[in-house]
Amino acid sequence: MQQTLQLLRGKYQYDRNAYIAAGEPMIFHCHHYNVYLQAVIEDTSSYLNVYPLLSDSSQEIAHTQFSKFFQEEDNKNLSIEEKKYICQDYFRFCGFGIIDLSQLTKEGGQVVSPSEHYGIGWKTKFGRREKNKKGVAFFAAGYIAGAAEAIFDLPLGTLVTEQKECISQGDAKSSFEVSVRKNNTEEEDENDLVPSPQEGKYQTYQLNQPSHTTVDYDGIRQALTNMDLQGDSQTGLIDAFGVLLTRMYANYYCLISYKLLRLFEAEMGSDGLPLAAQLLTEAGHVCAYNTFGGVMQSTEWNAMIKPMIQNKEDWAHGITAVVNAFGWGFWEIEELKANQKLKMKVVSGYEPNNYLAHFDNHTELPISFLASGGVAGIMNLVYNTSLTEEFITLDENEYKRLVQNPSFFQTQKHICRVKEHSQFDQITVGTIRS
Amino acid sequence: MNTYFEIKQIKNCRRFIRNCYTLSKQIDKKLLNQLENYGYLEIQNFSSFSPLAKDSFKLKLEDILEITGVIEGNQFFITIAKTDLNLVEKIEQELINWTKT
Repeated sequence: MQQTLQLLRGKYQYDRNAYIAAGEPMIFHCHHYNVYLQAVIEDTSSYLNVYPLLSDSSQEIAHTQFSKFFQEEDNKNLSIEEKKYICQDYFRFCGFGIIDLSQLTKEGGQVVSPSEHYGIGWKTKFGRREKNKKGVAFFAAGYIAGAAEAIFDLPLGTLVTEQKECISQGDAKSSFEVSVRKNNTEEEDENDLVPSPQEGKYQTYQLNQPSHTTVDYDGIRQALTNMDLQGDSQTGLIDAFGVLLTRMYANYYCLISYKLLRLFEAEMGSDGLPLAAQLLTEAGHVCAYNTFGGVMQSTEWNAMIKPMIQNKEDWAHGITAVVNAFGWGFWEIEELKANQKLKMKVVSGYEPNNYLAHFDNHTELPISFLASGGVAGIMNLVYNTSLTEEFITLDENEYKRLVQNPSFFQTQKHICRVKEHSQFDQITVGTIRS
Repeated sequence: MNTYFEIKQIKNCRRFIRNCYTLSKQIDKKLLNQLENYGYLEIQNFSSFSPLAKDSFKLKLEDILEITGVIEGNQFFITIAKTDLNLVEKIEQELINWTKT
């Protein structure tokens, strides 16, 4: 069984900078981004029907991944109980928390989670959530339904999960009720579930060592991709770099973001797209601020990367080297002007990989929202905070000060692999004054 | 601040406080041995991946305390539950004793 569990966890593919687990690209992101992106999407719920996309997307992915895995020659004889154990273990391994699938049958059943990433992450970031709102574990709900379908060899979309209790609302545990999904009606047609695009239109490339820095890109990537980052056996959470990390499905972020775009477009026409893009890019910036900021103050950074740093620009190189171990594709600094400009090349970014395979080969606006916000975040952390000189608390107050800074960095030019049909994304960030 | 270390506190988390220390002496095996009283010691061998990198250590005591730092470096971190702040004083005393030797 241990060997089967290891096989599912997959391995890092150095030629595409991605963790691939049973065909699914997995990437590191933390609770700040996970719950913030979800909050951004939920904020539109008064005028868009966004709740189904949050759980249907993880259901599509989990079903695709586990079905594929269980159909592999070596796994065809696994029992139902063994399959349940595998799905529980993978949930924990990825830092999603602890789930108990033992009560599930092919008609559904109850699932209890004493520790769940979104519930705990939400409460940690935003405080206790009001009881009159829905629970926040949409991702887990979809995962459970998709996994259950794969376990019982059911078609995608057979089951649906409803969350009953949520840790974010002060409940001692999160709990879920899985049941058979009602037959599609005309109103539900828009929510028809489709399989995950898995790796999508990925690209192969090689990690290049820039000549003008002492930061050892390959050494950092090797060290980080070999770290044993997995959910704790008791909590199922990955508490690292000062944040709650997850090995999240790259396709989950893409599906919920791009489905949101589609909803905006359907409701407001193409006029609504820039607003959606702004919200999603801001989520990427928040991610960079918290995740990159947490990494840059971590013990790992101080041991591994700080000894390589000779100047402020090396901080930008250091965190870019770290990103190359997150599974986000290849990030390469093409131009860095101190406190003025950063031009980043992104090859095999997980966002275009998904979009090109699953949605369209055309878009009216650049779709690499995380990358765009993330590149700006690097410059803001390095040049608009005192992080390179001292340890700082990265909280909401500090963030407000940052975004009000007249020297705030933002994306000025984004050549997008999808929009411009280019070979890679190229993101240039600068300040308003530059 | 004292002659043994500089300290900066980070309050990012609702449950924990993180104290970041810059020690006046580089962390060595003797300090690690002393600290093993507080939990299980793990070493991360980053130097095996890059000659420029140093190694780090981590000591964890259940859900209450985590001590990390850079071996042969001056950076030392205590992450402590807000309910158990009394432990910090004890560890700081260990640091002072170790620095004196």
